[in-house]
Amino acid sequence: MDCPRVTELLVDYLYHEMDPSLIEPFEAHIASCPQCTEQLKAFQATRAAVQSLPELEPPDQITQGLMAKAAQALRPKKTIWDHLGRSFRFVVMHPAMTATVTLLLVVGISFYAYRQSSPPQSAPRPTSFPEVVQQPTGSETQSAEELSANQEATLRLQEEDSTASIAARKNVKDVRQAPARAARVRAHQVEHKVPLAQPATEPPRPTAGLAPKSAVRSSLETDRDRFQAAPKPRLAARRRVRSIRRPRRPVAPNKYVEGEKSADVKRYLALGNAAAAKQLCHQALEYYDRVLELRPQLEKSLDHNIRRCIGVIARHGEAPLLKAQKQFPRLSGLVGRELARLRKPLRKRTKAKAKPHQRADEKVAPSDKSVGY
Amino acid sequence: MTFEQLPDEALFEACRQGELRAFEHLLQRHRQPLYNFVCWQIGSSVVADGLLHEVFLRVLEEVRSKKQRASFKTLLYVIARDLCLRESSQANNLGDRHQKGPTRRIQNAIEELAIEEREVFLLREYLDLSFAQIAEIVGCDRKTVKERMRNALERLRQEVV
Repeated sequence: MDCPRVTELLVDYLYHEMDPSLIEPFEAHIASCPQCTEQLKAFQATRAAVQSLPELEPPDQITQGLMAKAAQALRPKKTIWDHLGRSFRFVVMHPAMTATVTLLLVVGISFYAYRQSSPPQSAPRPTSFPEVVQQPTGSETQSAEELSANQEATLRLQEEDSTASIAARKNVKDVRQAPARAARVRAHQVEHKVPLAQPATEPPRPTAGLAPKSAVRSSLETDRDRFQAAPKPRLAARRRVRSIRRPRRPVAPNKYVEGEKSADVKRYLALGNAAAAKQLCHQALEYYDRVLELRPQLEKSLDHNIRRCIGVIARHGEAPLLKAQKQFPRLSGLVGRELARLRKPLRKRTKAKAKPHQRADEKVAPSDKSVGY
Repeated sequence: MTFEQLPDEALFEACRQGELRAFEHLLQRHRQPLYNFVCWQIGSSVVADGLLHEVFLRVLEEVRSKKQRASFKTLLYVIARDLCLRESSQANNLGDRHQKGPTRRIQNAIEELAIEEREVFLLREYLDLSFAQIAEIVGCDRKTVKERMRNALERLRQEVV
């Protein structure tokens, strides 16, 4: 084994990754070559020096934060079977309610089916000879002329009867005559063995101003459809109220600036990435605005954090502050103060410091001082 | 068999079954070497805090993604290396974890290594990964890894010895 080969294998030997068959010739060469021995010893000394460096310990809060995140992330997702199992449990736990609901469902469905299957009331009535008169056996001998003459006579009488009935409806006095005429017609029919016939032009039945049943039903259905299609303002209002009462995200003040986001902001600022820090602070302001909307009583406790965020945003000049002021109405006071501080010319500020006998209103208030990272 | 005795891959699979304790063991096992690696690689403990957090968040994403992985250590350090490269390309490090005395010279020497040599050196020296594993993480062949390791040792030798 020569020196370049040993140099190549030196690292393998140092970290015990050498092929066992090469160890013996390698060690033999090292023992004979002072240069290679020196190199190996120097590397071993370097390793020893590096290993003497102290180990760094990560902060505990990182572990805690990660465990909280893991608890959220590793929560098993609910499958459809879980939901089904849950509803089945409900059925078992509430037998009375289940039975009632089932009964109501069955009754409702059967009633609906019955309503659907019943024939419509407005079917047209048969107008021609619904009843067949039993002719006597000798009637076959009756001549056709005689029959037609009888029918003509009957029709004439019926016409008279119908005009009489119309007149009777118009004039109450003639009402008594109509039954008498009908009786006469019937007697004539019986006498001449004419099949009883409904008048061909039967006047419509008096319905006292009501629409036919089918028309009523269809109008009811259209009304129902219109009612179902219309928005239900009360329900919508109730939903809105519920959403106000229970915000989707739990309210946790100080989350952004005091928690891990605060570390992020600090980190970004340390790295010189002020834009990212500004973005985080803007998000934080958005959050505080929401918090104050729901819990106005937290205003005092959040004041410091809000001012810190505004301080970070103020590094980018007036434009982002103006945007924040517009976007977050509840924080506009604090943002406005910061804006006023920015707008105040530098000379005036230094003057205010220089002159001790100045009017109180020109002094920079201590609360105006922005709190930054 | 308790969680302490299980290898990383088995713990990772247990995480996929929703075992929070398995994740806790993985975290306990790897947080310190990983933190040291990130700290040395970046040169700032403030940034390393955030990166450590981010690395394990990415691991949680991997747990949920259900992709098959060969080795947990490889996965962990591939993520860590990517994040370190991203971070070091974005900003210059602050070097806020310097100590005084003779260790200062070694620290400076490590920080002055080229980033490819430094990562190979740290992975081998601090995390005791084999050259084959390092080659997999870094994305080059074993011979190149050994070459970088030797260069790193050579440079450090000039500073230390």
